[in-house]
Amino acid sequence: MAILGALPLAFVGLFSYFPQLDLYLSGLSQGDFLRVILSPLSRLAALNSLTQALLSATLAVLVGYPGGLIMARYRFPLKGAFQATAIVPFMLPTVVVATAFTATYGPAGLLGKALPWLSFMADGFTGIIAVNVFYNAPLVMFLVASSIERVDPELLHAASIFGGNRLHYIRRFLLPQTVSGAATGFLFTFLYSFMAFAVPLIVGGPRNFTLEVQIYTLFKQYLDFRGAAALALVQLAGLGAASYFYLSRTIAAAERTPASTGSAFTQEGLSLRRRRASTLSVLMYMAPVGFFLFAPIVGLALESLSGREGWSFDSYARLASTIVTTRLGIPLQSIVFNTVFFAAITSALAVSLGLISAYLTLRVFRSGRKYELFLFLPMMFSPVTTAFALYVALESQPPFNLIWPLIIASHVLVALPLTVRFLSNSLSKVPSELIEAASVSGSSRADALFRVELPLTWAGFVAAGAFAFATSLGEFAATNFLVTPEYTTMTVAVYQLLGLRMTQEAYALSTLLVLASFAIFAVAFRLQEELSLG
Amino acid sequence: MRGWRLALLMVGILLIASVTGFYFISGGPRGGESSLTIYTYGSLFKYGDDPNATYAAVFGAFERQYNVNITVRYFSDAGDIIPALLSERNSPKADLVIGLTSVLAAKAKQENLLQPYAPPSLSKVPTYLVNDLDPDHYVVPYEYGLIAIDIDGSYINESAYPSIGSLSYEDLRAPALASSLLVENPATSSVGQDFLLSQIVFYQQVLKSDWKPWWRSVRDYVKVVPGWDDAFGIFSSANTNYHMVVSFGTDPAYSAYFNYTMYRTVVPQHNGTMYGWLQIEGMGIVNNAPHADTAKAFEEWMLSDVVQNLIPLNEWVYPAVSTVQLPDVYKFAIDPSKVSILNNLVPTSQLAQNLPQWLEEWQSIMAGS
Repeated sequence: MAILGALPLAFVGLFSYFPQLDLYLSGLSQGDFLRVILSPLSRLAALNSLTQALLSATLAVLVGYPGGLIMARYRFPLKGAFQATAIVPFMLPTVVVATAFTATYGPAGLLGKALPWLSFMADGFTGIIAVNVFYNAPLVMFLVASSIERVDPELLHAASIFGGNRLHYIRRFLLPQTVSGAATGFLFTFLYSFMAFAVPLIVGGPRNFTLEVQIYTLFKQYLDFRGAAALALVQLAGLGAASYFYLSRTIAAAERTPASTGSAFTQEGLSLRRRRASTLSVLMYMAPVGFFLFAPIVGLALESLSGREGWSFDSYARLASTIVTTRLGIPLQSIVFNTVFFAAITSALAVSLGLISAYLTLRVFRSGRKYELFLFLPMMFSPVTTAFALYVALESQPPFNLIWPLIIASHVLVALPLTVRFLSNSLSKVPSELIEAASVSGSSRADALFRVELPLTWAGFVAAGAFAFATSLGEFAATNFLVTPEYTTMTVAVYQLLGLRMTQEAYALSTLLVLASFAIFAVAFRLQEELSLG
Repeated sequence: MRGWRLALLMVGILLIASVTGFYFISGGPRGGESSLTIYTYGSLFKYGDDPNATYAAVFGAFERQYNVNITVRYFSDAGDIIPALLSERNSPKADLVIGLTSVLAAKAKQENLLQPYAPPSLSKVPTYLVNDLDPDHYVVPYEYGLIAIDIDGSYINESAYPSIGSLSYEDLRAPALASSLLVENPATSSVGQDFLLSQIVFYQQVLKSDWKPWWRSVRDYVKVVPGWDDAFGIFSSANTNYHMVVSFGTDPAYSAYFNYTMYRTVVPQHNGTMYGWLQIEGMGIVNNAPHADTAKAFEEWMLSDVVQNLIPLNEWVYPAVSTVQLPDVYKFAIDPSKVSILNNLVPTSQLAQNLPQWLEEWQSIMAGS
């Protein structure tokens, strides 16, 4: 156990703590900290970050929560497709999302032209919040869904005793279970929005600059490297302390909510057809939220098809042509291969390390939350400094001089907190009676984990893998810093195409990225459905 | 039976490890016995018809001629090079840096990261370019571009704005025009930084007035985005209401060459004179570079006719050596010799020194104060 538990620690130690501390602690003085803390711009940035993060997290939970309940509770046509669509925003490059929002809701946009009042979603502070919710509400949905207890179908029939009083059932059993999912969703949305860089700048404009922007500005434009390092450490300390508090109080308490077979509830999924009232309320939710998540993606696809001379598939034809790939310097299939390769390895590593961590945090360690925090902190460093630190510390050491292992490491560091939370969230909902029963019957812990616990947590497992995959597909900042031409990914290529002024081709490639990942996720969720039922 | 699933997990991890291993073996080891290491920005020589062919013509040809092995390390942009050099200060890995602008050059000098060197062919480069970048030759120019404003003529033209042909900063203050303008953020973008510097120098040195009121008038209207890619992406999107973008004076040549949508490109005027800003790109030898002599030879090679001739169609800016014949499409570009160069009005060292304060003032103005 100890050896296994050391694996995730070794990973984040090697790829995050060692390089970062090496970089940050060289030559920092008290004066640097005082200087950045006292600067009015830093304080304004911190205030901006905090406001955007709190509002985005609250709204993302409000929008995503009912979706999570529906996703876990009901079976409906095209459910896999809905889930796959919902995860797509998570991996879209920010400039693409910003353009998609402008193209959809902006004053000259597809919907904005007819409904000018919608333009609040495309610009300014309200635009930032809308885009943050677009990115994160699906995450909340999946976290809530994966936190709902999964029980063996045979136990299910015992649950019919609740048939008479559904409200009682919902209040007494369903809602308490979902608190950990909603709380985790709030935490991630808060962290992602607090540390956002491109969305506040592109959508919100320069007055909405966040702490992350200020760190970057100090680093790149003021060339004040020690000031940037000091401010990054201040941000890390603040977010780290807040996250620890939150993890050890709110989330730990929520995960302690006793799971019991008494609250047994279907994993089979209720068919919507039988209950007209539920159908209506589900539709009333699904229609606007589905539209909110889907419209910008349609906007993006339309953008790739609308040339100055009307509609056409020309941008796709050009994308496939040798003229474009010669100008990129790397064939399209290599770009796709790199992207999928990085995402697959990232997903496998993040889920394996995440499973070890989640299991140990929940079942073995006393101070599990400190362990978890240790895995959380790396995502609170900005991706660019993570990449820079990796480069400085490891670039000259084989095999890391090949660069691509560093790219994967940077992706895993960002994905790991998500997979740990997803898995911990759903593992904590396995009824303790079942685990005890397994140990009484003489199974080893590992046997119980693989035979009893994992089959009951497929939803969390698949969602963890899918989000790790999506994180890798969409990662831009660290990849772009580390990448050498032969390891170009699709997200990086989107920016390169924009740089070459092949704007439409850039949107076409983004649309292909959406379609490809949609296909992968749809298959994954379909499989999950099969596995849960079988 | 016991624990066999655990074994399965371990096998899974091993499998991943071996796939990973295979991928990196097939990738083959890089570097090794190289004897010239160059740090540069990601898009160096990447804007042409065939960047791989250009790479071979620039780096491959030098490798053969001097029998050396070149390692080019690309950074996402030139701003990342200085911190990398700082972190390697005690045991430098890089020999040569390509792509430093005047502000970065001043910082590199101040941190003692470079050594001065004037390649023989620097005599073919106009003196004002050399002096505007760095009069002490720690960084010497190999190319320069002109900051300009692209206008989508199908939306913004003489019929609505009769003075558009002689657009001035004062014209841009009008909400109707300001609300069409995309500007790169000087806090995150080098183009944005150049635009801010040009606007400040124009107001301070030409108009002899305060630069700040201009930004206060436009701040509620202009769209400020983090980088040039974002700006141009929005500008050229089908459903946008931003039809002007801060970009480069060679854009019309680029559009003509690749048969892209032609936009109108202007430099702000005042009393009939265009006042423009040059983004001068330079190269410098790293202090204590392991292969300083080869690096010096490469600087000379960068100023040779072979490489200078590749600059117009691959970098889409002007070669530093003034005798190079420009390609035909450059007739569409704005001719920098017809522009009054604002860089010449203020010494670079002073710009670099004032920049942090200007940026802070700019950020405060845009935040609403």
